[in-house]
Amino acid sequence: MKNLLLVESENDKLFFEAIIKNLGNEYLIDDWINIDYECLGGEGNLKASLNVLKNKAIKNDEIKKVGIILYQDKKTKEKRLTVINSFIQNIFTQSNAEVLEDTHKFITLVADEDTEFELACYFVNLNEEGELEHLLKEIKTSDSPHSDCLEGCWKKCLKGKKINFKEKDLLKEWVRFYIRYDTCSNKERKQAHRKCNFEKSLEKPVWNFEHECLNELKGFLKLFKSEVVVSE
Amino acid sequence: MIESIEIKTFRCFKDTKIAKFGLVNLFGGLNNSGKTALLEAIHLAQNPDIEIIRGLQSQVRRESNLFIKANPESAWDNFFYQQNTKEIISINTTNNEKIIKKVLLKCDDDITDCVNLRQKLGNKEDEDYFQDISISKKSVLHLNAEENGKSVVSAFLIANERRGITGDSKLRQKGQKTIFLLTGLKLELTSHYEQARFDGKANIVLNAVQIIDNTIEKIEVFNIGEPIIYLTKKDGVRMPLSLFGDAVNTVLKFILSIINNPKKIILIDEIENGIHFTNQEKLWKMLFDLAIEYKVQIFSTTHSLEMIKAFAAVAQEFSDKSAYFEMVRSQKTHKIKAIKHNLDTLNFELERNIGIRGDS
Repeated sequence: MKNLLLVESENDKLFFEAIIKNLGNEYLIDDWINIDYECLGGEGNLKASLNVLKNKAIKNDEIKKVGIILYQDKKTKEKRLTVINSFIQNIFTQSNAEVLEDTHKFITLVADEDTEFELACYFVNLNEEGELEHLLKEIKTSDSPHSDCLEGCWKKCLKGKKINFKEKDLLKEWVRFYIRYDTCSNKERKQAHRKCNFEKSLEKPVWNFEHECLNELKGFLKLFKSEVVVSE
Repeated sequence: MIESIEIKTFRCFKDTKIAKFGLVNLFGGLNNSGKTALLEAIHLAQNPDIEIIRGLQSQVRRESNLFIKANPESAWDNFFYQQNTKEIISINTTNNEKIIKKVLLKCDDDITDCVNLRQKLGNKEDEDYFQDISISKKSVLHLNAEENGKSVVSAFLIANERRGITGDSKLRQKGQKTIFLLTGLKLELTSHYEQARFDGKANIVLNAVQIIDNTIEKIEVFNIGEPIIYLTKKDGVRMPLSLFGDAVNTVLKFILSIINNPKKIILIDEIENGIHFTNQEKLWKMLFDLAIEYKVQIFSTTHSLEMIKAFAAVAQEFSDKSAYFEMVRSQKTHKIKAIKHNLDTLNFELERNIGIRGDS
């Protein structure tokens, strides 16, 4: 049986995998071997992805647990839950679908008369809002003069010119600069595409995976650990 | 229009229910996932008749008469799930007028009912018939059909080493309600074309053929020795239909079946055969338009991803008329299931190269 995580982007997948890898010695690689990831490519694809999930569950019949991990962004947790619940009610019509009342709590969904699986959700956040980049900025371990200057000066400059900008775009650039200029050597920067990307940064000690702001997320990911099957 | 079907112990179907059919339906899936068997089930459910059963044996599955005569006890095995003839086949369909048609097939070697039926029908021309059958190897297929609980057909077929396959039917239905277009089926197109021409539909046929080859300007029938369809191209060259490729013949077969059979059901196996991918969207557009105009319901199967993509593209315009189903076999229950992909999901899956033909 497989567990499946529906995540917003490829970077989220890489980040969650890195968190799992850094969970500590009490967990083995085999504990996570049964997790598959599906990248939504944005929360706008969630409804279509849930439809695909239902079809996939009927077809393969081997999905045990599904986790949806979205960004909390500027919406409340309750609002996010309401949207997901409305999709679930619309798609899983085989029986009266259960309702997600909180994150970290599984409900059972019936795909057809022979197929059911468990589903829970979590919203990536820092102090009840934000997205992946907010967490990344919070858990940086290195000094970040390049990225801080970029963010500060760019913002000031744009404001001066009365150009509208999105904070989240600046934050994405902060992460990009942190990886490329604050944590990569000159030599690495010469092959920046290969050596100064997000995936490579996760292999370096430039993120603090012990940071307490990750505790909730870790708790959610642990729900998808493989269950030990004891053979008699 | 059929809305749903429930099939038990027929061919590869152990117990399958499919609902929410559209006016134009497409089924994709792996080999042996039940696509053709589903068309057979619909064909039989709509025309519960001994001739249809014989047609399914000889035309669809190409089971040899000689083999059946040599092995009469297993003549009906292939109709039954896992060849278990102790089960009873049941096929139920419900249409949009809430008429429930039920077909039951039972197999044994008891000819009592057959004797009674033959006597009731006054079929006494061959008095040695039952004596011949009773002393030789045989198997009997009993066919019963109901409409909203009322018996409409009672029939039997006996496979026997001396007489081959014989049968009788009470309350036979008049006329077929479905047209089954099998791969490679050679439909005699000339008389069908003449029927269309007689009904003033020659232009519709020409327009359809021009989808495949826009240089064709005229369709005519000449009776020189035998009636043959000739197509004339813009450059004036006239050639018999047989010299044109599969695509022209296939499209003619589709269009004549639809326009000559309004309000019926057209079953098309492997619809992609012979149709170049650049013409597939135009073909679907024509099928949707004609299905609506002639109130014809279409059930078609395919292996082709290009054909499914073309269907999904055209179906956007006919979203309430179309349905795509993926036929799969459950790994847990081994039952065949038909997963309906709504149009938005189908397009999302196609964009992302997600398997929609039974593949993962």
